[in-house]
Amino acid sequence: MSVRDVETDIVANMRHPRRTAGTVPEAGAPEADAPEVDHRAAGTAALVALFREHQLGLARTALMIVGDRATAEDVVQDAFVDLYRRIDRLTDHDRMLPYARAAVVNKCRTVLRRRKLAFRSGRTHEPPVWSAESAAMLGEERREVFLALRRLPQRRREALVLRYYLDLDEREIAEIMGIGVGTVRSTVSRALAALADLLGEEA
Amino acid sequence: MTRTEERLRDAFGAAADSMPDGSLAPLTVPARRRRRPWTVPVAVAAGLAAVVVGGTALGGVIPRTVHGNAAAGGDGPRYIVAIRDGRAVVESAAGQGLSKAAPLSGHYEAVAATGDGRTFFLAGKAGGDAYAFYRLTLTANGTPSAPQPLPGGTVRLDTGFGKPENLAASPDGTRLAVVGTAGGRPEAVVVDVRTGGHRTWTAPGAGTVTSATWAPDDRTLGFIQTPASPSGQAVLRLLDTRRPGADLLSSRVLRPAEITGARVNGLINVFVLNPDGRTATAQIQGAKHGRDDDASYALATLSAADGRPTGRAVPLPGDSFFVKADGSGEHFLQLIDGRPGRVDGGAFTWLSSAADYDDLAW
Repeated sequence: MSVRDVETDIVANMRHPRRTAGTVPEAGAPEADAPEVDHRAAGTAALVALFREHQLGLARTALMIVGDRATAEDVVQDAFVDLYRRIDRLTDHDRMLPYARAAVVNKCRTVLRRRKLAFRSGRTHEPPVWSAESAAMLGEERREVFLALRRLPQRRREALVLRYYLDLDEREIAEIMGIGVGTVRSTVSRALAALADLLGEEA
Repeated sequence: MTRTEERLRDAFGAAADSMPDGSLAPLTVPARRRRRPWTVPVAVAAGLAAVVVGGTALGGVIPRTVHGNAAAGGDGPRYIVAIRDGRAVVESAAGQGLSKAAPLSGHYEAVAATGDGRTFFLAGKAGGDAYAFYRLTLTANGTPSAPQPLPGGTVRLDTGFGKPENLAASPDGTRLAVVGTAGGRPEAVVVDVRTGGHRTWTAPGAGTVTSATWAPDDRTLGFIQTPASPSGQAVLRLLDTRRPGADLLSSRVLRPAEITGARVNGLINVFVLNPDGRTATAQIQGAKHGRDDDASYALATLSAADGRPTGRAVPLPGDSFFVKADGSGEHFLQLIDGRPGRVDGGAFTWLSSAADYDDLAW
């Protein structure tokens, strides 16, 4: 089944079956339901399109924050499931991408909180991007960057990922992180200085 | 742009490239039924029938979103990957028995799990007696990725993938072990799933190697080696795969496969090294008796240090030549004449009445 098929399926699921077929609704299925159902179908279609276009970018963003691919992928899936549950309230489809980005960043925070507990049992999903195994793929220099990033406070790490991976401006970052534009500016600046210090470079 | 900013962008770009386009699992969203206004809360709570890209709508299953590590825990793993009639399928083990969740394309002969509840490896025939391997991941709600071929080409096996186990995945998911006979000689091959590199150990002469199992250190490979001569004794061995050399028999003998004692008595057909690092679980076939050579079967715990039995044995209902542990080491899969079962807390229960299972893992 293709992405298109999924979209069709989801939208079909949301549509009033008789209305789609052009027949008269039965008693107990009031006409008043129809606009609500159409709105939901349109929202779902927009969400599917958003996922299709931005899944990879969002998963890569999560990868930079949580460190491993499987978790990053789950984070994006979970974020979209949450958005889908709130589809009735997502009336402005142009705003879905910022919502999705914020949802992904929030899910990453949740994962990292849980991971502190998981580390006690000594298990991780798979070697993170800062692990020795990853050095073979990324190279030692890049691994050093991720090791340094990992040592930064979580909010600083998020700010750097949003700024230097997604290339978002300060206003967009502020919206996603739920902080002021000025705070973004200072957070990025301090994060860069701390990172340079950890890497033994001039800020 | 400062040097730090340059390095940051470069590292992000390289890490992003490690997650290539087209390699991600498809979108899974809850499909909701048409509802009356008063059913909204119920629909949100109960309406989790998934729609899957690249597969089939999940028939009749109610997948649950699982957060964090899906391995282990009270009731055991939520999902298994099974090979049924040559097809791989994800099945839900969350309720009573098994229910089909999602089929996968392609034909496969064996499946191995890392124990994290989400990473699996499949073996499929690649022509002749050569086999190729694929990595499969499940999302938190059991949606499978498309199986990704592992690099490094194929492994030849004269014996193919039967039971007891020929395929095992290391708990960290970085290495696969394939044991069997190649060119008439017993052989163990370890495949690095990232680089595709192979390392091979062989034993002189004829004989068999079965029951591949990894220790939680991700470097010790356990197996059963059976010499060809009728007088030869089968033994459970532990091979340190980080040490140099290619001699399979340089591995340490854990114990003879024949086991006698007050607790259990018989022959070990297959065993798994448990995640605790201290114990192993072995399936033991008791002495044959009666006119039809009936035998009793049991699952017993052994010490991983010296192979001695510890604890009680769990009786099994039939001819079991199979045992696979989950990531916690508290739940064990069984496959008896093609029918799956499980052992939890000292008790066996059937998972399905279907008897077309070739292999399964969780």
